[in-house]
Amino acid sequence: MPEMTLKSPPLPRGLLARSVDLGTSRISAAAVALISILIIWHAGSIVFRPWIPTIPSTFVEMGYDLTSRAFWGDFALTMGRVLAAFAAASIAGAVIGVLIGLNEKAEAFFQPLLALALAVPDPVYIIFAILAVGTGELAGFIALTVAVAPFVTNIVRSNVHARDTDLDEMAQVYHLPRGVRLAAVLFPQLVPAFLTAMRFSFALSWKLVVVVEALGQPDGIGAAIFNSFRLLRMREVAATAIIFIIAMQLLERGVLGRVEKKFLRWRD
Amino acid sequence: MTQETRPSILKCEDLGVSYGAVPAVGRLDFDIRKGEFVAILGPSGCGKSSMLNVISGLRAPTRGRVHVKDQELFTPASKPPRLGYVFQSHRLLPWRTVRQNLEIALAASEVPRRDWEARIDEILSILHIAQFKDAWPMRLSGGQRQRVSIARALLVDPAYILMDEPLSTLDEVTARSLRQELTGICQRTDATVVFVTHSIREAVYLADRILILTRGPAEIFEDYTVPLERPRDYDDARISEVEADIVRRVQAPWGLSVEKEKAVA
Amino acid sequence: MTPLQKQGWAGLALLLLIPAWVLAASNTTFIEHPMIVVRELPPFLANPETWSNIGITLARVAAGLALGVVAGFVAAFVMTRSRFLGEVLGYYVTAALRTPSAIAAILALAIFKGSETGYALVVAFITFPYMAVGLRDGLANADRDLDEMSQVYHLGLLAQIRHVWAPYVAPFIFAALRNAHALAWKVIVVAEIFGAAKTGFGAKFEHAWSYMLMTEVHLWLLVFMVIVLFAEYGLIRQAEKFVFRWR
Repeated sequence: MPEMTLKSPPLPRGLLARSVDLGTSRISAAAVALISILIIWHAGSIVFRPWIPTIPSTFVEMGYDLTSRAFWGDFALTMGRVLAAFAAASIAGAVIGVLIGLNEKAEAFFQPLLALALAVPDPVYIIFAILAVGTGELAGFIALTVAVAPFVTNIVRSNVHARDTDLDEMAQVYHLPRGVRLAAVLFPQLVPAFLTAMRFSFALSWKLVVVVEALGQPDGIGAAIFNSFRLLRMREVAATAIIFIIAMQLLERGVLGRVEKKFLRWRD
Repeated sequence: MTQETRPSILKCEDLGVSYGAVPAVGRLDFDIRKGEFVAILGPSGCGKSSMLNVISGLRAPTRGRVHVKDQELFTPASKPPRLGYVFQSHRLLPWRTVRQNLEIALAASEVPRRDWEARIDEILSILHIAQFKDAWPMRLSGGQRQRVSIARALLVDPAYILMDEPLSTLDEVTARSLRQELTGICQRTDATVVFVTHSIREAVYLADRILILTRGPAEIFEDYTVPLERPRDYDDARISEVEADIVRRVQAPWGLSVEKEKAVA
Repeated sequence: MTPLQKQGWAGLALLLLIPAWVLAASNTTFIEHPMIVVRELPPFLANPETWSNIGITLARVAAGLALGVVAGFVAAFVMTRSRFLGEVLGYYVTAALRTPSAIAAILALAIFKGSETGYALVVAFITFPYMAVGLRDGLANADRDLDEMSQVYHLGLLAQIRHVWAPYVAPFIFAALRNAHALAWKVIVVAEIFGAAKTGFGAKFEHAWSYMLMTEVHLWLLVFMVIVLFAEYGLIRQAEKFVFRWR
């Protein structure tokens, strides 16, 4: 014990010092990044006046947005659309991904359809959704879901392929029933893939919703941005876009990050 | 009771496996009886894994018959054999604790649920890992994980246990202690074991009988009964003698070079 | 499963698209029957304007992608060489990754007033972070695994790049390039529509849509998809196969 007390202090102190060191270098990197972006923005606002709004006016506009009811109304609408499409695309994409990852026939069947689906540009989806079901919530929902699901399928499928087949063999040798093989052997291996796919699906959904709303909806953040642009109010475009991007980024990190921690406990 | 009078557990007759026109297993005939510890020894690439796939019930042979106890395998009416399998790597589910890993195998076995708890405790204490019952596999050392894997194989009331080079990925000190315990564990549980290994010394130390295979496509070169009583000592000179004897015998059929023989001896 | 069976299933999926299309046409007002579209296809393909518009879009994609690849390379190189600059650049990459392409297109239109530079820059801006991230991982891997080896064998710099570094990083380059390429086609359409372009696929598609020229909407989409799939499977994957023929 005495030698322990003699030996142990330097280790934590060294570790601590190093992590503080890393911490300060990270903070200064963030500061450099932020300041350089502001400088570029400022220079841009001078060179391309009035097309790039000035920094102070954008911040004033952001403050105005954050306290306006109309903004939060649009935000809630858009949020609802993003979440609905995100959920539908994640579930549909994951189900198809697992199916074609496990079944060669299904994979051969879906492969060309996936390639086609991935090659279609996003505005085309929204336009065809409108052609099919008219302008309404449903068109946006369909367009977003169909545009995002193939990516989820691809991620999940490749992870099903990359699963540990040694464990499949173990499950077979010990006669684990089919349900147990899926629930206890395959799915836990896919949890990281599901989480990656969800992250991707969420990020894609909120980026595409801007396109979908601008082309096909009268309201929501995307429509608000596009309207401001049509009236050449670049300040509003920038302010709304920045708030929206930061809010989505926070949501992604906060919620999905927490889910990740909960599901991957066994890893360390 | 001598081995001859005990019931047959695993019997292969005229067993052959080929992939298309390429033979992997030439012809195998052997009979393993209850409580026997049989090592299978062959040069690399002789078709051992094809043979293991057949006797574990994963893949039907191209030719011949396999009997487990009284039942013939790979007939339309036969059920897959109930066996324990210890793989080269542990193959535990890392997202389940030790106990949960054992329970998932028990759930698929015929062991009644009320016996699970007692059995798990008994086997874990035989393997000296009772304190890790609720640990995640990734927190255990390689040797401890392999012990859990052995516990899983013993637990499910197996007709026999296949061990596919289970000690080969462990460091020598860990492998030694597990090897030393293995025969005792198997005797206590009256397990029938088929133990595949590359190490002649390990085979001599552990087994009652060694099936020495030829180069691929595998056939039985010799059914060798180890002429040593138990308990044995891994560093004993007599083990070295038997080992040297086997090396001499397999030299020609395996095509060993003089250098390799020296390295083995 | 044999390759023939595989092709059979794939063919079945594509064949089933035709009745699906017919079904969609008969149940909606604006989706055209496939026969009408097929009948209009030859004159559409014979029209040089079709090809000049596709050509313009293609040129924008190629220019933007080239810029994006170069920028991604530079960013990845800096990120693996300097820890500090890497973190700074990381913020730029994240910012670009998080910008919806519609917003990038709007800003580019405002700044560049619909000049060709604007379109190329939007494509470059949206694709570069994907190249940067993919290549960074490749370079980091190569550094870890290969530096020692080339030091041991005393290879010259050129030989190092040619024989050690390039084969190792090539798979990452292709994976990143495939992603960026697929994305580039999607982005250019968004940019052309939001950037109020007069020419190019997106402009024509949007024009046909706003004037309710339904057959033309379908024709543009068909031709566009064939070209994207040809670029991906006919060019990029073939190049990949050629580079990795030693495998």
